[in-house]
Amino acid sequence: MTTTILQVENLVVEFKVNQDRVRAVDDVSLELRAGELVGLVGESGSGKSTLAYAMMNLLPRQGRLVSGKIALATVGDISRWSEPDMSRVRGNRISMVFQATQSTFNPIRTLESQFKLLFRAHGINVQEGLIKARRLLQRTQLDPQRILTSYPHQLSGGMRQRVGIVFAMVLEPDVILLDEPTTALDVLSQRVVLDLIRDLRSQTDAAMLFITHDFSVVSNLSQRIGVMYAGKLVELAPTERLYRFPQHPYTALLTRAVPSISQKHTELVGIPGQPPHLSDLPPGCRFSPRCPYVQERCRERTPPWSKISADQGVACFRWSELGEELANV
Amino acid sequence: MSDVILEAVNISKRYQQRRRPPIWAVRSVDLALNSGQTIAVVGESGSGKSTLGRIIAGVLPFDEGTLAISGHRLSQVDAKLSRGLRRSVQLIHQDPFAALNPAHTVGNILRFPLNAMGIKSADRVRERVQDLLSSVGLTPPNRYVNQYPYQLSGGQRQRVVLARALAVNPKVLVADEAVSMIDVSMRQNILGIMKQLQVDYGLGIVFITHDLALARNFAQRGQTIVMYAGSIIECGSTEQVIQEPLHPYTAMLRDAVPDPDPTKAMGTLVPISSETPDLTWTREGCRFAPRCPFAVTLCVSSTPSLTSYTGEHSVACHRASLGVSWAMESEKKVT
Repeated sequence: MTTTILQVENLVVEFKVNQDRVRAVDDVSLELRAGELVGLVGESGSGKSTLAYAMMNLLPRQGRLVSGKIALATVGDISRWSEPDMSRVRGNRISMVFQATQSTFNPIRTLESQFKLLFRAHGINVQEGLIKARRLLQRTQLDPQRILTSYPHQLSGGMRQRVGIVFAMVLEPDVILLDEPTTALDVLSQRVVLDLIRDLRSQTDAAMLFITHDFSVVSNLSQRIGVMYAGKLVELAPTERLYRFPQHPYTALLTRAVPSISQKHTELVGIPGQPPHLSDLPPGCRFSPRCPYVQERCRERTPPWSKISADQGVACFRWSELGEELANV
Repeated sequence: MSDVILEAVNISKRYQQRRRPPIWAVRSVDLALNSGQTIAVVGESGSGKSTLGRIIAGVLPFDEGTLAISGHRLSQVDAKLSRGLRRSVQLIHQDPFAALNPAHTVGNILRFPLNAMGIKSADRVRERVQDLLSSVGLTPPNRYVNQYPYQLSGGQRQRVVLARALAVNPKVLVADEAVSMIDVSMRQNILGIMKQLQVDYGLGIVFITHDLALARNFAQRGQTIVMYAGSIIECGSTEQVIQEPLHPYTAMLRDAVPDPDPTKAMGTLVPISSETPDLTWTREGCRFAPRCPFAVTLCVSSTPSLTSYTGEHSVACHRASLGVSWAMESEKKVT
């Protein structure tokens, strides 16, 4: 039995845009378990990164966590914590790896001095901390001594991202959020980073949430995948089930729109239309204007979250009748 | 009978640096494109693929070699003809946000190139604008004519960019990472439009991308060129290059592409170092050798040239000519 490490419940995040308030994350619930890597897939504006920033309590000033819970098994609900309290757990219990590797680190300090700052901020013996950092850096196939004495600009993007991952892991947090960690990297650097994440995943009990717009990147890496659309979590399932037997039409169409290098040629089709503006959401199901399987009720009411099993859920009225059809899209 | 509309021979581009040797962004590249043909150019950042794209689109001067459009050498024609020739090759940029003037409506953005083509009467312009918008799937056209770029999504903007390129009746599109910034769900729609335009107007397309799976998908019946450190290291039909790569670098790129199918792991070939190539390098030797697990003494001492392996399939690798399977070779190393 795997233990739940983090429980996000009915999370709502709003942004102030001009005079309006838009919901970037709308009633999202998600649970992360020990030693598990969950992929969170969605297009731009789907709310996947906002969810991570809310979990870190790093929302920009226009953003506000309106309601919901972010409960860590070790310290409880952190969603209402003040900044001083939060800074004690950030990095320590919950940490994050960012997409832009050039802004992860302070450009005018060596990496060793930045590791030292991190240890001091969390009251950890600096020498012991550095020993641990060196050990982790060794796993990245980089020379720890060279890395620690370098300034961030002396490393390539792929190297910086590997150090960023070590930085996020060195305090042994319960949860590591990876926000598009490979999107800014070249194919070969991406591969090295993915290999590193896979390797570290097997070494730790931490739960990882890997956020990406590219389904392929997490498909071979994750135990489960959640799919977000316009602020809503629309499906969550074990990875292979999600790929073979998608229950939500958006999941089915999205995973089939991605080209493959190994499979025989199939004519790929895009999804008609485009994602809605958060300030101008359609009534009912947010995917309904683009959905080929739409019915009257989809345009009128928001489909509730249906729990198919302990591991799987979907927000679609028609999931039980469409299942077979979607598997063959 | 296919006719060559774009031919680049032995093109090189150098960037001079102060007190340091020049950077060779592109080195001795040949490329020939027929009408209706698709050539994918793949490579990582710094490989020279975008520089090559801008050179063949006629917007970036080059240092060596010749560029001919529709059989005319650009360096040998007068300014007027040169303008017309360069107009027939249109560049589609990666960023549809930066490519459109935010101060103009879609109608205006499309009117300028039409005016430049000599279409001046308001009725004719209106008619052409409507046609152009319909042909890129922005229908009904009247809904978009008076909109500003900020009111459009990335996908819609890229369609406007395509429509603007079409306004001057081009023969060639150079698409430089044209869908990289577009959401996944809409990429195939944009690519579908490009393929349709290719059929309708016989366009030749140079499709520049870092994504091998996308190159395979878009140029499946065309050619693929793989670039490394400014040079072509492998080229041939897309299926040959991607299914039976001859250059270890191509094999590594392919092995590193994640697959949507969760049961498919990435391949086993990886470079021995993550160093990026030195673009100032002018001495002899294969520029990939420092990262190549299969490099032998010959690779360090002499530069391999692009040679035909089977028919159209060419490779610049000393060891490939021996006909080794890189995946098998790598297994031997492991065991």
